[in-house]
Amino acid sequence: MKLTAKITMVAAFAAFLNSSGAALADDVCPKRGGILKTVDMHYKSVDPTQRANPVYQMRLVYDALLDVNYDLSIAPGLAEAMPTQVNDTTFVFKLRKGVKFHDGTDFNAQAVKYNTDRLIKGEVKSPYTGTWKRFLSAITVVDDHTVKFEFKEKWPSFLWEAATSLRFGSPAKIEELGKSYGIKGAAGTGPFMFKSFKAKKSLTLERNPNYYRTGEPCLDGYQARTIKSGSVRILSVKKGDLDVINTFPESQFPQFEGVTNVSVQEGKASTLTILPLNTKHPALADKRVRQAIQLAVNGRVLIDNVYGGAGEEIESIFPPWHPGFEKAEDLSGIRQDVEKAKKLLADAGYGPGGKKLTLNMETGSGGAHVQRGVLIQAQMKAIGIDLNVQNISMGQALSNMYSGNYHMILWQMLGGPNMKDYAWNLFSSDGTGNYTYYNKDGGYQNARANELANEIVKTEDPDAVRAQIKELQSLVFEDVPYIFLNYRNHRTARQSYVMNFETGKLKGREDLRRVWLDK
Amino acid sequence: MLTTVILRRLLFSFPTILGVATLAFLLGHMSPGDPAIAAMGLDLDGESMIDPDELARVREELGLNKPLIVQYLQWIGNALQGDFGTSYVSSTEVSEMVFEALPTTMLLLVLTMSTAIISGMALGIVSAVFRGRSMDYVARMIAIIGVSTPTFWFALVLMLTFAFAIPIFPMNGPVSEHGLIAMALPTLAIALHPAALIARMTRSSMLEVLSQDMIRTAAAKGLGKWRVFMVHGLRNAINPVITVIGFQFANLMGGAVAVEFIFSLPGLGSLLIEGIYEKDILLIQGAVLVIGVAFALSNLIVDLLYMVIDPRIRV
Repeated sequence: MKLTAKITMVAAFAAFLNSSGAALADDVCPKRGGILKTVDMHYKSVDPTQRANPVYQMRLVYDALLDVNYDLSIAPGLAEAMPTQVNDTTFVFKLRKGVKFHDGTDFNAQAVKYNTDRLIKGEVKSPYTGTWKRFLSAITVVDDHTVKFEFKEKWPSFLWEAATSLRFGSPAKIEELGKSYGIKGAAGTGPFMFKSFKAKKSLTLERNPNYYRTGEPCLDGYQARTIKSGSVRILSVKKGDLDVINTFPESQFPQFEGVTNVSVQEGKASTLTILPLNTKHPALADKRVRQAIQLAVNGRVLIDNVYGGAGEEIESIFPPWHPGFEKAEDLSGIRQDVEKAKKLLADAGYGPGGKKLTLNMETGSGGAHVQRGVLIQAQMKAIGIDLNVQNISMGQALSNMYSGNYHMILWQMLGGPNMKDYAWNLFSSDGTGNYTYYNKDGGYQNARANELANEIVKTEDPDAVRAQIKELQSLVFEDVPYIFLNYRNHRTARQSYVMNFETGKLKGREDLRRVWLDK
Repeated sequence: MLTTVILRRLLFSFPTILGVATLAFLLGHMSPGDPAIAAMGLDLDGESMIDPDELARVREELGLNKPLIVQYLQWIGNALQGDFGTSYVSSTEVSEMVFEALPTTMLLLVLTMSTAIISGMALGIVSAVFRGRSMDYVARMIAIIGVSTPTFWFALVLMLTFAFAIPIFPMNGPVSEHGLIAMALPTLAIALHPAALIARMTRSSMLEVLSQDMIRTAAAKGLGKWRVFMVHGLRNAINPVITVIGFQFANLMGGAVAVEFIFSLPGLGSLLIEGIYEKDILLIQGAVLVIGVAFALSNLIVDLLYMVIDPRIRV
């Protein structure tokens, strides 16, 4: 079934649910009230242009034109239906009528244009500006409840972007608070209203009684605060001080064994763990050296020893849940083979009788980062590569990758169900997440892989490009611009009385609108 | 006379603070990473990617393209007027962030020092007075354990015992949420080490003084035992103890960082670590500057205490 057809079906179902919201309310919220207490809030302000971490926190205050369901399908949100596609580069949205921002002003087409302009015109520092500026050529208010998006070129992942990176704050509130918007106050259309926010310290929200999905949310409020120590988070949820935690050290997972009041949920293979290699580096420019490194590592050892078994080995350039997943017929190029690795290294002139190879690997400073670093270091040692492991912040790692000032970096990536993130972004010469310089100036070149990555991204229907996906992954598993380590599961621990709190396919994309507390 | 000394010392503190500020600025800029990337709020999960044009625009807006010396002069000029700039990452005034965090750390340090001084000196005095007896051995044992125990480990043990197993104290969170009781475990966690050091110094200093002729004379004059110990003995033994206390203030900041992290206290230590981790240069500079000033002031207070206790030092 084509993706568009699936989207239409989901849209129809969602429209039915919305239209019957009031009737559903009692079924959805068997109990109302209570405040959900949790941790984590790594972002600078409750501004719709920011990417919250965990991601779902921005969805509490703001809505998007489209919603992402737990199965990653897309459904209408503030749009009353899925958009009409006029041509390859034009989409028209009809907006839901009667929706109000938390400050009482109307949500309408002017508000959509105001927020979009704010994002792309550099009025805010946002991680999403680059993507929207690259594609959007014009946004037009057709009437109060109709808005038209026009692109410079075909934008296959537009629906995903419209659902995840474009949210709407009240223009009146934004104008009123200026640069303090998102810190001193905020007003979206979402299920919860801003009460207070201290960057990286605390977030307090209260129920929006006028939410457009009648009857939702079930909770009276939401509180998040920062507890930096993973061990303390675990103790806090076990003690009952917290209702939910999304991030905690996997090595301490056994602490939940026998704890009856806490349930642990798992999302499979959500996070891709890779080692981008700087293919401009003299040694890493040699394919044989990269292949040797790939053959030296054992992703399963990392899964078992660092993630407590919560992960999966890589079988495709797409994760197993992704519509583009295509198990590679030959995985021998990315599975451990120490003897072959040694031979490749010797052929490249390194190892016994050749040159000594010393590389630096940058990694984060948390417990799992350190453990992975040490294991990879030992695996490199086994084939004669001396690996210096440097613990740095992930912000610095991103900066080093961007400037090309690195050898290899232990990196993890959460992508969406689109064709862009795992193919084009990582392997194309234009890929904005391709820090390996693979197919970029000065880096290792494979014209065919570049051509395939650029072709795959032109569609959102994986069935149309199965052959290209197979060929691309066969080429990149041979070229190994990245060392493919594994997929990591994500885990959520919650009190057993927290109901309807599902763990989605992607980390941090929980939907709290129908979560209720059975206590 | 004392006023002149204070003014002179304050004047001497300025170059120190300026040096600290300069060092903080240079270290902040020399450390790897691009603050503009942090300012853009880029996620580290690969969903948002760096757009070169947008990065260039943000660098320009933040003034990061200006020569380093210009950035330094601008920052130091504004800092002298109390304006530390706006955090790249949190979009909040650094002065607001720092002065919001300062009371937590100061309260923690004051409580810690008070606890350490009272318990450490009491332990040291008891140990000296009952030298060679069981109380001395117990006191010395406590002091050795205190000196050898890592602060972060002791903090976790205290939390596990008195917040989890026997839930008397809150597990974490600020004073604004739990009241002063939120400081109980963090204070004990940090105070153990300085208390042990103070106890050891008090004991050795007291033993030295108690062996002097003047003590025997005082006792021979018929003064009470504890009056001899506390007035004649302790007063003369106190100077080295004050020196240790003065040094401890600087060391405590290290312990405070770990303890603020574990107990989720929103203090200066947490703020500084956050700034370093996020490459938030202005925040690092502001926090280091305030900590530097606090150190300079604490040293000044220690020096003044010397003068009050021992007038010979004023000369």
